Amino acid sequence: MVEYASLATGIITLGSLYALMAMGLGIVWSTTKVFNFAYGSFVTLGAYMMFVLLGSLGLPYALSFVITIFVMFLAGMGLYLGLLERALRGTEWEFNVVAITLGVAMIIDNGLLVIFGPQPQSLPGVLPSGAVLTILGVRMYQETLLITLIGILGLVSILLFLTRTKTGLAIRAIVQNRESAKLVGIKIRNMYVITVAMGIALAGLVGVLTGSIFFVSPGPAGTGFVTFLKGVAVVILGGFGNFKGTIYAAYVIAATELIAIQIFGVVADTPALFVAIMVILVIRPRGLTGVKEY
Amino acid sequence: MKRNDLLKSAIVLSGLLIFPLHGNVLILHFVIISLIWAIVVVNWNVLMGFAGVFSFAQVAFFSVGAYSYTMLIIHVGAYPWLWFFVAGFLTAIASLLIGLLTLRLRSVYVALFTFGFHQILRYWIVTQSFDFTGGDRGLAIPTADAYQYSIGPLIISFFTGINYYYLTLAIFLVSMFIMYKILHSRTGLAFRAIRDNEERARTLGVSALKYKLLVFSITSFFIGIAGAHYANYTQAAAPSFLDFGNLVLVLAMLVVGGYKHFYGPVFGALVVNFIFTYFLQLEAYRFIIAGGLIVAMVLLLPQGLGKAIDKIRNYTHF
Repeated sequence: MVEYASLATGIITLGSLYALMAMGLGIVWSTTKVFNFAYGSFVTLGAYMMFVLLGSLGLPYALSFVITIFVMFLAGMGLYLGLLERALRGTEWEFNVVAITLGVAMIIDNGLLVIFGPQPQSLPGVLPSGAVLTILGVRMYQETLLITLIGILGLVSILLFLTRTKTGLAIRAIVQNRESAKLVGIKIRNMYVITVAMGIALAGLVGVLTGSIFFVSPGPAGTGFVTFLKGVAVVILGGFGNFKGTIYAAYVIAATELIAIQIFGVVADTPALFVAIMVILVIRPRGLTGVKEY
Repeated sequence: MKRNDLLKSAIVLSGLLIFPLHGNVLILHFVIISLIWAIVVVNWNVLMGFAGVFSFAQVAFFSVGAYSYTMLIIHVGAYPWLWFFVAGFLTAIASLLIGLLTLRLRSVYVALFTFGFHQILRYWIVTQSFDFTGGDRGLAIPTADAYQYSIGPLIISFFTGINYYYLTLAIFLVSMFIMYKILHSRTGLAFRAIRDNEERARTLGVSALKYKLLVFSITSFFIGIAGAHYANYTQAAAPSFLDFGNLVLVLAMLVVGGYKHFYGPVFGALVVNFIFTYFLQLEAYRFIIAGGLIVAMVLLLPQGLGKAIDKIRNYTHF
């Protein structure tokens, strides 16, 4: 019984994390049709930003957190206004966008590698590390609980934003039908800026959360890449254009992963992830709940 | 061809043939490697730019070619000429399998799928036993005693020094020529049709899947041969071919050289390879430069060097 409980809490934690990863990638993809191959790199960037603020500058946790998210938001705006907007113009936009995001990914990944070196780092947490809490017979690190709560809070905020605010509704309108959105007066460009900025801010958030629970390492083989893959798997499973579906898919994938680990031991989950992605793409590319039109 | 064109081709060709006589081994090595990658990038460009297929599996196919060749040499015997073609065919077959799975999907999905294939291939190569694929150390080809051919008192070795250059040049020119012919045929027209407007092409009776599979397998054939030759030249096949950085480097060659331009990518390969080898000491910085180059090219010169060279040619009437 205890094992099921700890499995359940694990799924909640991991699933929330995956959901956040997927939201950042998926919102931008559904809205702007840009598949941000540099997403993982921004996750790593966020983690390292937090690392620098907390460690080298010694700022308090909450302040570092807010600064990181804010700076990542600005970085997202810069990414769109500076690069993506130009890349999206013209008939070659699909290729240009892929090329440019891969280029940015290289720059960020290797830049971080050069600055911080290849060793994995771990972000210091708020609560004393190793402090354990026991709920319903399950022992959890308090830190993990906090991260899970922040993750769920983030998810809820995004959902509320998308459903209750005018901007959120505008974004969903664009996802549903870009032309009609233009007709009712939604300024596509502004929405694009906000969406991309939000996506990158989310990446930063994911970086911070992941870095607290796991390690962060830079470079093309590091956490950013793995995060990107997981995000891709969730987004594909959930389907293009459906945000709630993405969240469900996140928990499904987290559950599958944890259950598989229970049964098979810690398998190399990265290639299994890829196989899963490829299989889904062949069988049902629009995912579980995706909209038919891409 | 008109007499003018014939003259120009003769000039370029003689230049290429005389080129290695300066004897500088490093430059020769650089050009050989660049030519090999040029084959890959030109074919990748044909796939993406002329036929509109967004595949990221080309570097993986390069590795398939390299590894097939190496494994054939090690396990079966030293018949390099034969294995070149066999490796090419094996790669083409692999590409057909991948293509059947994925070419019905839209571009982003194709990109993701082929990207996944690339990663899985790397994982598979690294985790197989040492005997089969060499694990993460790669495979080395035993030395090339059998590669000498004697005609009477004359011993010709195709696989040394300057001869390597001519061999590479020959492979390069032949594959470029064949590709050129294909692109300027009705098949090439079909490629461009499905790139520009797939639905319209299909209503006109051009089977998108068939031509996508065709271009996929043809380009993979040449890429496989390029991979085999690379393994032959460097006497090894290694999973480092499949590093993510390598993939982006080849993409950089494509972007710099010119997306949708036929011979542009050759110059892209030269430029990127030059930057990569010249700045060897900088290691990780090289990738930053490559990434920056991609971003700069997409923003400033999205049509690549090929377009610029076209303009120069127009201007100087060459």
